[in-house]
Amino acid sequence: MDLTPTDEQAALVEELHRIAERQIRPSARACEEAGAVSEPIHRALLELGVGVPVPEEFGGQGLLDAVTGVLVAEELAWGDPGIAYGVLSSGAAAAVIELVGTEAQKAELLPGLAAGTAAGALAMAERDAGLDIFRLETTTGRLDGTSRLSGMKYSVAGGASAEVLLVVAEGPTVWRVARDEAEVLAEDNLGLRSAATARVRLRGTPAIDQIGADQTRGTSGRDPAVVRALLGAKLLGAGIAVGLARAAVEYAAAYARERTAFGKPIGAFQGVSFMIAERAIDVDAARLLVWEAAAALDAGSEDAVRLAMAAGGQAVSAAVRASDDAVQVLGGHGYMRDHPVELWYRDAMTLATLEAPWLVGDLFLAGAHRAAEPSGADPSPGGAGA
Amino acid sequence: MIQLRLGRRLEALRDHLHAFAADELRPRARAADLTGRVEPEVIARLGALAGERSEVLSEAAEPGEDGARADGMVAVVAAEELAWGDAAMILNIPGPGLAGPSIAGSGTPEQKERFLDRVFDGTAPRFGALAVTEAQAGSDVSNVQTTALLDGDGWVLSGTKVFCTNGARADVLVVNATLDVAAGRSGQKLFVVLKGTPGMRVGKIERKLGLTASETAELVFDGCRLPFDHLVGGEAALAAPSGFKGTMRAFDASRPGVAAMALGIGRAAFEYAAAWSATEIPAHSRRRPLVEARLGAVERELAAARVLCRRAAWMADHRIANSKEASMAKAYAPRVALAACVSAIEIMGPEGSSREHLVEKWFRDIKVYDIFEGTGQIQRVIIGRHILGRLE
Repeated sequence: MDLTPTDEQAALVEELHRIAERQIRPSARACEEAGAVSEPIHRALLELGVGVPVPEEFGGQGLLDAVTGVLVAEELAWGDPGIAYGVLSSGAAAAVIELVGTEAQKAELLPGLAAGTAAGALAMAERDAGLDIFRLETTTGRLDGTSRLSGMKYSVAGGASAEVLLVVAEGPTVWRVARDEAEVLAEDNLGLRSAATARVRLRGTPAIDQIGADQTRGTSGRDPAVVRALLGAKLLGAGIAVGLARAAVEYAAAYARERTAFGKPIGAFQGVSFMIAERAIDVDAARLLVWEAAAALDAGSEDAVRLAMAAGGQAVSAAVRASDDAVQVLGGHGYMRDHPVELWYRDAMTLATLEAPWLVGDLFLAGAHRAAEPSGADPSPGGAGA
Repeated sequence: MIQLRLGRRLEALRDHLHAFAADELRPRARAADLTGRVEPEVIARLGALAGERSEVLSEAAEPGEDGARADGMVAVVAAEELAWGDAAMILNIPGPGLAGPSIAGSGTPEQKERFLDRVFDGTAPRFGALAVTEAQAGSDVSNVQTTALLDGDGWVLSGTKVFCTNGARADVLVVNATLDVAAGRSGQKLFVVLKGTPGMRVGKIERKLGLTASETAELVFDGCRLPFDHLVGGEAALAAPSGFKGTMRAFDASRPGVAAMALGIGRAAFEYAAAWSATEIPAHSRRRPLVEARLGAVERELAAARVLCRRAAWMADHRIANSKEASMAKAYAPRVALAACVSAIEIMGPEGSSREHLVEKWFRDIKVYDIFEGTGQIQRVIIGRHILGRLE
């Protein structure tokens, strides 16, 4: 066990924190009002190589491993969760192509994504499955010699403007779909409003191609490379939740040190300090689980699936509780839009609908503890590793 | 004999208000949330139904077999049903609001006549408000910095109040100010400020997480001159130990009703998610048992909140001191109602977070119920003191 980041990771986190503090946090309200990440922020992160991490041969600065990815996600989300969700999804699409795409697909798609001339989007979450990639209900089928997809995807960041739209379907399998062929409906949500999220409805929508498959290979069998790539994308969401929760705890703590009532800083009252302490425990526990899952993913461990499910649920729970209590610590001030805690309160809940701890993560984990069922009942995968 | 039934009259009231909430409030809730406004004709109808002079409410509160009027019970039953319809819209019900108990409880008979009976005479929608909170003094009311200085035959008010519900539109505003900042609570008195008094101006109208259709105003007093008899309680109030207790009494009286509003919001979210899941989550789904168990837990907690609210109201109706019990209702109901909203959104998944359903609005609205009129933390301090005594 080693919890020390590499020198490179530490330097990157430091640089990102500076951007989060000076550029992202101050722009959060404006981006939310505009419903989009501002161009200067997009540009800065692209130049730093974290917006869309792509290997050098395709014009990028190198792919990020999963651990670095979650470190980046936490730091950006500390600045603003909606902006982080918006920025990282284009990168997630690029990473999936890099990890599972054919050479031809990489050569066709990655240079544009790396240069920022083409935006990517990864349509993964569903209403009932959330981000349980083994229970996705988007179906694939062939008609007239074309692979076709049917299903509904939620909270697809940048879905309405993506030139490269990837859809994750049953299997899981990943498909490229022309945006004009799918019905892309802008969402009007509680939170993550800067991410310009959309629903993508597919009704027998033809796919351009399947990522990682020659047309002859078909969709059968679970591809470990696809699972790894998608878990990496899922963990970015968990990293965002950790960054959100940490921001909320730090903001509440700073307020509790300054604000006085009954002749003392309110942080001197246990009713307040215990709240902050509990939420700090939540943040650390969630971050460690996210790191454990990301490291397992990088090591190619089979445990990565189970750990990623646990990490996602723990992280959004921490975010929901921390933002709730941060509003509480700020009291009436926290309920007003003058402070960011009400924004985080909304963002956390929207994020939680994708990772819904007890309906998605726990349900997946519970699958490993299920008694054997009579044949014919629910054949879909439970808690077994990838 | 112990029994917790509402009784025929209160049940009829509940059903009557529920129909109004379902037909008139709920369908307008989203528009009010987006525009931050409630149409004047809806405000007028709300006032007629549930305002101070409401015959429906007054009749439902007529003394029953035990001889006690049921005004407290009527308040919590009405608060739950109407908040189920829309919590923000019902904060627009015309009437004296929290200025009412402040003046009725501590004012002279002449002040009650002048500031309550004559202003709120039913001829037009009028509003009252209580301005207590300051930017640096929320739960710690004793830290209030707004001053009232005796100057000749009147008072000069100086300071800034924040987060005042209906503060900008109030015809009658009750402001707590201190005669001596160094004296803490004991220096505080209540003053009546009428709309348009020179030296008072409306500062910013807050932009909030939720309850957007309810006005939350900043009020600035800059050399605001008041006649001497705008001191609530008159000359006798100067000799009285403190006006602080008057402020606290206003909150004591309102706590069960505020808790019941939170309950109404939580119940709205619970019922919405239950109905949604009945059609959207099929019986064979692996999620189904989890959803049902969660709905059951939410229903149980809301039921517990309901009896806590009603006990506090029943005690008030029977002139039994209820400070601890009112705080229990106020500490408990907003927390379980928030949990109901969170569960509803989780059950509905991404659709729960979308503005096409009202649960995301309820999640925003509910949060402030654990903050205003005494935070959950302050309620716990009060409850703890009742149980343990003052230990210092």
